[in-house]
Amino acid sequence: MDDEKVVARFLETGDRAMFGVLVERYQDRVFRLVASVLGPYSGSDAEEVCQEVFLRLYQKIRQFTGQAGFGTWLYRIAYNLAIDWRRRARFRLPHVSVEEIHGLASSSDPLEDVLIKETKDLVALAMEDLPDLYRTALYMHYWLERPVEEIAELIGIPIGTVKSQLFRARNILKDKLGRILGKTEKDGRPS
Amino acid sequence: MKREEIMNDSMDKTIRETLKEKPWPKLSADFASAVMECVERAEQKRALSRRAAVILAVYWLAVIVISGFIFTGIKWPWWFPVVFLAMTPFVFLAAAAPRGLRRLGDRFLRPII
Repeated sequence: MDDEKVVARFLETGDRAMFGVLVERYQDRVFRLVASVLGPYSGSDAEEVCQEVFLRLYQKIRQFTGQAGFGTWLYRIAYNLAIDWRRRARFRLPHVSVEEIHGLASSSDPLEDVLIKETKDLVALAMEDLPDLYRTALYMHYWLERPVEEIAELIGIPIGTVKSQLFRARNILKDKLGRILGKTEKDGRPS
Repeated sequence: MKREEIMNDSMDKTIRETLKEKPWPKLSADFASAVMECVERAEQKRALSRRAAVILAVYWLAVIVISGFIFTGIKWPWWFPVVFLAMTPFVFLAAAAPRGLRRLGDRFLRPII
């Protein structure tokens, strides 16, 4: 039975088992989308947000008109909710200022493993600072190792756009890190 | 991954290196049943709020009707409006109590149970 029929049956009969079918069918993909929006550094729990997404779906399912596919509609709900959670979580997490980032880059600890850790932290901070869509696509591709086709489906954009977003995200990161590391070298501190 | 490598290598490698230690998030096996439980609780909550709304509506209707009688000159015992005014906070409490109790239960009892 396709999604639209399951939704129609659920609305007709109010049978929760039908809603359960939708949850089973979409839970993994919604979870991956939510996890990549929140990212590996966020303080939020992806599963909790995912639960909230399905609860929102239950409350809003009568608003589903069938103009877009059910999946597309659900992914939109999940994306918006996860973005909200991420913004709220950002205020709960300790704020890292630009000065601190520079300080991190310019600390002159001789131990190599400390330097490597610092460098990774720098890359992580730069990734966290990317625009929402770029960051989501980046995490989905590099962290969760999902194919471009799935990213396109979950974010709701064409495959070509996903590829160009990944390309632009890499360029932004390179620029950002170049600036930070360049400034460190200009300050005359060893890297 | 050294700093100079970031500038020389492709960002592709740098990003992969940075993210490779981050564990993949996993969805628990009983996620679907947890969602269904959540949905059931939400339904109960909705029913409770509907009941609370009915209690409040009846109370306010009575307040409006009786004050209408009072202002139009019909004689009522002096204590009548006093009793109504005195009841107001309790009606609000009664309407809010199921929700508040449920929240308290969720907050303090669920982690224990």
